[in-house]
Amino acid sequence: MLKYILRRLLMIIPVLLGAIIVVFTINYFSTTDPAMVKLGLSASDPVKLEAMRETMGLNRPYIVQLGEYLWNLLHGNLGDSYVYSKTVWELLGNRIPNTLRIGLGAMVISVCVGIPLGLVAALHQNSALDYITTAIAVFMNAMPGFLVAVLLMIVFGLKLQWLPTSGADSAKSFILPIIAAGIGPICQDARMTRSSVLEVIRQDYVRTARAKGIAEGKVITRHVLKNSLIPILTMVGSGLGTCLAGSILVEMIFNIPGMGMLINSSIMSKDFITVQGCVVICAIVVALANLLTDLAYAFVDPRIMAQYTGGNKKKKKAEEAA
Amino acid sequence: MAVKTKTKPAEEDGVRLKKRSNFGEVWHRLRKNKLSMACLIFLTVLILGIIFSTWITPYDYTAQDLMSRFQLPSAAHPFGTDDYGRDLLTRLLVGGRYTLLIAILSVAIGIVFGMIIGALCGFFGKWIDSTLMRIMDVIMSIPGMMLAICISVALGSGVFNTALALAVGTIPMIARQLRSSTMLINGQEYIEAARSFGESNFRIIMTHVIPNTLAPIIVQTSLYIGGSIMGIAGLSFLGLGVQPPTPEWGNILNNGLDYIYDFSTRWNVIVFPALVIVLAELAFNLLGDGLRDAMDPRMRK
Repeated sequence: MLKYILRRLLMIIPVLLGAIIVVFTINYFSTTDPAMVKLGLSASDPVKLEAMRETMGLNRPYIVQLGEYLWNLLHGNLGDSYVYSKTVWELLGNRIPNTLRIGLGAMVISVCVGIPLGLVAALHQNSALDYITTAIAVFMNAMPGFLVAVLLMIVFGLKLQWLPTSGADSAKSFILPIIAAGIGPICQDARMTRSSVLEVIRQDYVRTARAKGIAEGKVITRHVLKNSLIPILTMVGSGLGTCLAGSILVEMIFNIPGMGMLINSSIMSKDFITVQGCVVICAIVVALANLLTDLAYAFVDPRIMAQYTGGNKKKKKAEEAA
Repeated sequence: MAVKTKTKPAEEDGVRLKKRSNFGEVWHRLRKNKLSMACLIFLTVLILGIIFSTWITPYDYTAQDLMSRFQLPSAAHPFGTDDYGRDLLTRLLVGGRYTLLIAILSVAIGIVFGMIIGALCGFFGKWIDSTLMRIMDVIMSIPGMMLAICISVALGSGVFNTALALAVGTIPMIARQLRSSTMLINGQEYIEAARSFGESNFRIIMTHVIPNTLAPIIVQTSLYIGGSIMGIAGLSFLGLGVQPPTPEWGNILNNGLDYIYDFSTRWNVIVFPALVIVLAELAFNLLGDGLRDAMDPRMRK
């Protein structure tokens, strides 16, 4: 087991490195000149602009700049903001918890609500309950998260005035954002669970289990659910990225000081290195989530771990599941 | 996988359905799906309305009328007017041109690149496959929305740039799918035959591999367009994407959201853009689901 964990841990390093390089490269070829943003109004002076480019190290070759960025990142330094005289981390650091709270909260409710809903819908296939669940899931899936946020805010915040509409002062102010960011993943999890369970429920071994007289509850938990968990896990794991992205959009509606607000204000002020920092942080969080998903695979399905030690078959298996 | 399942029933029913083409078969099954047909009709009406918007509403989408700001729906303005007194229906119809153009363009970019990469990987295998697929893994490891934000920030606003920003995230998904279906057909006789005729690899990929793997992707176009519409709305919401005064569903909605605290009196600037986005996306998604079921009846229920 330890060997498996270690190998997975080592495997996320190149992917993460690649992701950071991609993000850096995209920003490197940006049409906006960071020196111009930093100078603001005095950027019209070409001498000053050139001097600023020199001090910011923008005239150095791509590979040197990339190396420096990676080296700094290794030390927890995401670079200096173009607009404020602060490092990106100073701007970003205390905002990450709010975003994570919403993102993880959304993920938790998506698992706690989505999977049981999908399971119930699959077990009562073609019943009214199934149709209603599926219809709602399809409809809500088409709603952008921030639109759900707007609706929730209008109904529960403005009309009923049950919950606060802005700020992050109390736990109460996180309820609506979490629901808003979680609704999309809930629907995805529910749909995925339904189809995955439906595929398993017709297998011969389920029939055999029933024929052996095992209690229905046990058949479902031991035989059906356990075998349909792999695609569901994949969905849940990749759902964290959706949850985080959803959180970023939802924060702005509820005026919660998280990464979303920072991204928005950085876009407005063209402080693109901060945006880059936010994306890098998200990529790291998602990579860790993927790692946890992979570890969960091994717990759910011992075959995967066995295959894994045998070679590179695990990847193919995961692809088939996805 | 899809290729295999697609050809099988046709062979079995070969005697009965001799003349019906593959496409005809899909269309025949799709027509039985009432929900999908309703979506198709809705989308056709919507697209016709968008194309012929100048004949539908008498207003100019940029014409400001400050005397009639925030009017609620009436006979003169079916969807009411916005904060500059512009007719909302006109703006939504014209905005649809940009939204749908970006959505379709982004999916087209994604399919072209995904197709090339997927076919190359599946056909050649070995180091080409592992290199390109690792790159795809890396792109997939960044959340799609974050990637779109990043690219959109770097490239700036505009129709093509926004489309490109949204497309990059879809390339790996399409490439993966095409790779696996290419691998499936790679060992088939007609590829061997083509090779034995001395056809170049490029020609085999172009005339045999891609046409035979494309069908499932084409079917999913509808789903991808739905996803793109959502992505565009998200980008617009963050102040990226197409910039006002050019109308686009996302930025019309975003503009309306400034007045969320006056919802009881100015609800139309939020409700109508939101409704258009959700309905269009829903229609594309449901049509996509229907098409997928029609392509592969085994998956159904």
